[in-house]
Amino acid sequence: MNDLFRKALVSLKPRENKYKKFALSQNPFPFEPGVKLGNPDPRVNGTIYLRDLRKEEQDKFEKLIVPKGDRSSVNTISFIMDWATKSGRGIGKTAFLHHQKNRIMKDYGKELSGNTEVLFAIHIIPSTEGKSRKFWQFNKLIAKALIKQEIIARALWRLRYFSDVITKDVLAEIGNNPSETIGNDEWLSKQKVDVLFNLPRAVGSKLSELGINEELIDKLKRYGHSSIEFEQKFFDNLSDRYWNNDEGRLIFNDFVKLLSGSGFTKGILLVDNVEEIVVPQNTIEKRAFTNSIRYFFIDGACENSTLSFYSLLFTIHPYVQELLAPHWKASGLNRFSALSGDKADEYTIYFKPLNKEFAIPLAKEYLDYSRLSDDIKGSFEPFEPDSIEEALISSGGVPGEFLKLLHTAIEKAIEKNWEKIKPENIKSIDKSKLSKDELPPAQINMKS
Amino acid sequence: MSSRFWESPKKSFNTGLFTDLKLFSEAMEIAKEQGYVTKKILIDELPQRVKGLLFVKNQSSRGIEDLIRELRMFNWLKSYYSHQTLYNYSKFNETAKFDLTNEGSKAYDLSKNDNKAFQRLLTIKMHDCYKIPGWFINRLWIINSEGQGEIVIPAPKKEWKPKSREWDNKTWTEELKEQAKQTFNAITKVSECIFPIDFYLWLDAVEKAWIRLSNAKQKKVAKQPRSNKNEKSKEKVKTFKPRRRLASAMQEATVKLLFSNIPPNSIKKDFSNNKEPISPRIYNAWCPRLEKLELLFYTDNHPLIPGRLIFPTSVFKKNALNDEFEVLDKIKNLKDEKLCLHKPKWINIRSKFLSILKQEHQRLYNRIGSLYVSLLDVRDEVCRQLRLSASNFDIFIKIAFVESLKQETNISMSIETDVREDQRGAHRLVRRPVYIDGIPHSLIAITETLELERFSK
Repeated sequence: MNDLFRKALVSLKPRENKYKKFALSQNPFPFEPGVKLGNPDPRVNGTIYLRDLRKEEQDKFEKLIVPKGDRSSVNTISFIMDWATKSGRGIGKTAFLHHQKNRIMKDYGKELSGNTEVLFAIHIIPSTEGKSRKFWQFNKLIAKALIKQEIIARALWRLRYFSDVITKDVLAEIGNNPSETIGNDEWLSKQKVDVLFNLPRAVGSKLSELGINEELIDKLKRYGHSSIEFEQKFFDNLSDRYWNNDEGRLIFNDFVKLLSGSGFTKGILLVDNVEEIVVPQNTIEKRAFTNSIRYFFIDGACENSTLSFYSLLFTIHPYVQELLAPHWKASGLNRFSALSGDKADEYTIYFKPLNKEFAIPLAKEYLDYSRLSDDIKGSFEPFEPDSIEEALISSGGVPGEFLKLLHTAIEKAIEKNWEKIKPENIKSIDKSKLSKDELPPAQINMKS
Repeated sequence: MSSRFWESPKKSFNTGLFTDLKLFSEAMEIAKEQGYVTKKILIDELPQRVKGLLFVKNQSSRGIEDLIRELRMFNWLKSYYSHQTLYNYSKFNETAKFDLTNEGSKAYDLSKNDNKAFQRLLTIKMHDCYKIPGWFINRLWIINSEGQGEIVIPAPKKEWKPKSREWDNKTWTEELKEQAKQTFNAITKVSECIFPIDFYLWLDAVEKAWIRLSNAKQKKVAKQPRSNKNEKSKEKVKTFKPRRRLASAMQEATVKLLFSNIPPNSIKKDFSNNKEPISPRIYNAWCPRLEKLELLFYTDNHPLIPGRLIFPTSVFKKNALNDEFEVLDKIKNLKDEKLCLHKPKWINIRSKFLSILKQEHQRLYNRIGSLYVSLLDVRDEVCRQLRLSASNFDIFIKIAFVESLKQETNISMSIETDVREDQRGAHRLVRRPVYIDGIPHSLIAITETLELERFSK
């Protein structure tokens, strides 16, 4: 047989679990210190999350961003910033944003807003290599996130729900997976809903009432209910030229009309890695970017500014703050959302390094997830409690590095046949620690 | 027999400021080929060269004057027409001719046939003229005898990047004090012995140096942009960089405190006269010169240390083992000890060299995360721990590399000439590369091979 058609051999023997001696099903800690959204492994996709770890930050997030009946009392633009540049990487900002997004999307902000709002949140990760540095590129990024994270589809499902075309009996059948029911034409057809004529017509007329562009209405009523189809039939066909000439109409007028018209009261845009936008920008681009932010989010002639519909949360490092601050001030944005100066505290969630109080429960949370039996849950095995503290010191309180160090410790313990992982073992693993504060002595004595 | 003072130098302390010692042999070669040299001939004929990884098209007029002056002081060049006195070197015109002396001819032949021997001859000549080579090494050992002469000439921390200041804004501010304090703390945190000066004494000296530098005559630079290429008009500089000035002030203060005629914590002068043996300006030339002569090693890029880390790779001893040291009998200190260059044999140092090489690679790898790390950073630390000169390292790394190719060691090594982005800053490009077969190399990757048992036998 030609090797082109060969399939990889699948071992029939179950793999030996080398972590069994520690009553673990796998190495409980992530191999790489960073969140990979969408990865099926809970150790790396942000699922294992210790809520209390970031309680202070979470409270401030709610205070600054989540409206509770009075939308004017929350910020349109806020920031999340690590306490020190050096500890910025792996401090847990992405995991935090991911968790806040899930909290909001769980019930569309019902619990957080005290049932006063219907919210949605999207997590936006800018492209690398400076491909998000212009404002139209940033717009494109928002649009893509709104489509891919099924916010547009959910707006369409809501319009369908309230269209009076679907009977109450069918609506009662929707259940907890609306993409397979109200978002699925095949399912609706089976329920004898006219998805070819009546339903699109009702949705279309509602969209017309909202004053949305006719061409967009056509795409929305035909494909909007499916994020995949809408992306393929609409978004993918929009050229960079279109985005360059669009002047924010799609995101800040039409989408806002659609989303608010479907009953959402606010959209929260969680923008990660803002350095990917700001650092590649030249001075003119920085100024244009901040001017556009002011126009489209604060006081420009667009639907979003009128309704204060989107709220922005920018994830920044102190270095980005330094780069952006003069332009932010020059655009007059500091009055609306202080990026620097005395008032910055009112708009910023500061991310501090881990402390002992939370590092130990965090390690336990990861260990418990991979325990082979419930009896041993809550134990530090194979770590001695002091080893966890040593790892915390060695990693400088940065959760990503802390977890990575614990991962290495488990692997070393198996390789070297350690029964327990002691603080000195952690020290021996963290060879880089030496470089942090000690000058190794000379190995030659020339006087002797 | 020991004496009370270091012998006063026969010649001026005002040594040339150029640091490429090959210029001596190259100038003599031109003199030999053409029968004589002039300043103009040397400017035109001296080959282009590289400094670190930077290309140097030609030598400055001042550099050539220094070169001729020093060659005359060594008695290797003389006036072509008459036997003028050796001391009458300070003024000569562009076309004044100089030819080789008999001693110069011999020195030139030595440089052609045995470069190492020529280098030792040059060391002795320089010591004979200036006394600095031996005295400087001796002083390093006095300053930090416990740390085998390891010292630091501080510079502001890399993280401090202040904006340019107006020329007239020369105030010694709290920010500058704070930077000095941070620098001091960073150095003493690493080791207390490498900077044995009281903080307040040093801070006071830095402030004085800052004020002196701030009141120096304003430099003139060409107008930007120059409308006519032939136009020579210049204007005064309007701004200065506080970082650079503070670095100069720190250097000036430290050199004055550590390398004055009287050693720190002592009352006895080294030289009987009252002149300072080395000025901060001349220090700039001596460090690279002594490094090239294999008397010391220095680096401005140690990750833990803001400033220049200097340590001797030579020591004054009564007796030394031949397979560890090369003895320069003619250079002695006040205790009648001879200067011994640390030149261990490969067989004696092999295991330590390989182990530290591997360990330092691992340390940098842990920090930056890529397998290829700066060979120069690895070199600096290996040399520091083993007290090796840079040229010794060049020899040993080549042997280690060949051994790894022959699978005679438990490590697999790759050494590359590529220059990574973070090595391209102007100050990094002037750093001495690692030469293997005359080619500058800058990156190294090391992995352990699995056949440990085979090699341990």
